Amino acid sequence: MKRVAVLGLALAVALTARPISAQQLEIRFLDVGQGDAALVRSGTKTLLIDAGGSAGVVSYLRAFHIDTIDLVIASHNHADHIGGMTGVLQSAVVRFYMDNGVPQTTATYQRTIQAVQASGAQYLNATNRTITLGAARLHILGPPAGVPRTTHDAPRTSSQNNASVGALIEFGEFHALFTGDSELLELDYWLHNEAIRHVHVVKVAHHGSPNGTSAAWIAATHPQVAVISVGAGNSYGHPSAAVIAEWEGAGARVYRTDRDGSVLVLANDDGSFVVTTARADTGGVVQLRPFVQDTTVPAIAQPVTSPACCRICTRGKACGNSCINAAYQCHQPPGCACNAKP
Amino acid sequence: MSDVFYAVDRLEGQMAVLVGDDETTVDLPRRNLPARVREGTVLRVELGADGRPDWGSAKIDDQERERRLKAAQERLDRMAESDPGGDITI
Repeated sequence: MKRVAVLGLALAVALTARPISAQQLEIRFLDVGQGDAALVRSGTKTLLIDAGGSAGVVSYLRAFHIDTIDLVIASHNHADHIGGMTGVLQSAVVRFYMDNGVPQTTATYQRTIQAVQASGAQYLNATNRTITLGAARLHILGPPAGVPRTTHDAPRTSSQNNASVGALIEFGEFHALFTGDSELLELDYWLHNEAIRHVHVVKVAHHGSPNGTSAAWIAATHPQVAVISVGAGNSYGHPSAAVIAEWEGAGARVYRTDRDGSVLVLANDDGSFVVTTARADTGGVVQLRPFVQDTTVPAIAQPVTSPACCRICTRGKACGNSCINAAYQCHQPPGCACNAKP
Repeated sequence: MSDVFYAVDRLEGQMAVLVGDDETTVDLPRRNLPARVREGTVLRVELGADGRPDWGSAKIDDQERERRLKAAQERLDRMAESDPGGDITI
C-alpha cells in the first residue's frame, strides 16, 4: 500500500512538475493528509504557505528539485500546519520566514522555532505589508490586534486560528486568497478592516469547518474555485457538507485534497487560469483531470473544442501542459495544452 | 513511574489534539481530560505499566505552560528585532 502511495506521488510529480512559463503563476495545494501546505512559484521565486502535519511536504520539495524557498509563511502554529516545518528548514535554504507571532506550547512548535533561528532565515512579522515575489505581490493580512494570546483568556475560540496570517496573492489580474484556519472572529475582522475583494481562488479556511466560512465571507470573496485542504477519514468531521454546499451555491467549484489529491492552479496575469488535479488510483496510476474554470476572461472563455485540452493557448503556442512564447522552442513532450483555433 | 508532557495543540469540536514531547499526536475526547483543558494547556501524564500514557492521571501543569510560552516569546522577540519592516522585495 505504501509503495502504491509513493508511486502515486512520484507519478503525480512526474506528470505535473514540468517548469511553468515565466509568465505564469503556479499554486499547488499539496495533498499532505489532514493539514495545509501550498507551494507557490512565480518565475524563479518560491513561496511555501504551511508545511502540513508531517514531513510529507519534504518529499514534494525533493520531487520538484526545490532547494531554496524564498519565503515560508506559517499561517499559525498548529501542528497540522507546521508539523513538516522542521524538515523543510533542514532540507532547503529558507530565506525569509513569517509566522503569526503567537507562541504555542507544543514540542512541534518549540522545535520549529528553534529550527527557524538555527536556519538563519530572516524572520518577518505578520503585519499588513506587501511582499514582492517575482512578478507576484503578496499582501499580508495581519491578525487582529485584540486576539488573546492564549485561549485561557478566551476559551471558546482558538487564539491560533483567529491569529492566522492571511495572504492575498496578486499576479496581474489574477488573485488568490489564503487565510489559514481563520475562524469567524478573524474573517469578520478582515471584512470590516481590510479591502476584501473578489478573487479567483480561495483556500477555504479551517479545512472546511463551519467556523471557517460565513455567507458574508463568501459574498466578499466570490471565488470561482474554492480549495479545501483536508485529510481523508479525519476525526473532526472536516469538511462540513454544509460548507461545501455554501461555496458551491455561490458558484464556486470546490476541490478537496482528500478526494482530488494535490490541486494545481496555473494562472496568467490576465486573470485566466487552469485547475488540474492529480490523484493516484488503486493501481498507482495518476490521472490528470483537465478543467478550464474561468468563464469571465475571453482568453479562455472560448468553448473547449477537445476534452483533452487542459489549456487553450491564445497567445504563444502549446508546449506540454502549458503555453510558451511562439518564438521559443518547445522541449516538453506532448501534453494537454492546445493551440487556439485561428 | 515516569511522567511525560503532552500539550494541547488545538480543540476540534469535542476532540482534543495533543502533541507529546516526542511529537506524537493523539486525538482524545475532551471528556477524558481535565475540564479546564484549553488550547495550549500542558498536561503532565503518568505512563502506565505498559508504557502508554494513563490519561486518567493527566494533570494540568500551568508552570510548564508558562515556561514554554516565555521561552518561545523571548526567542521570537530576538528574531523579530532584525525584521526590516514595511514592504519588501524578495
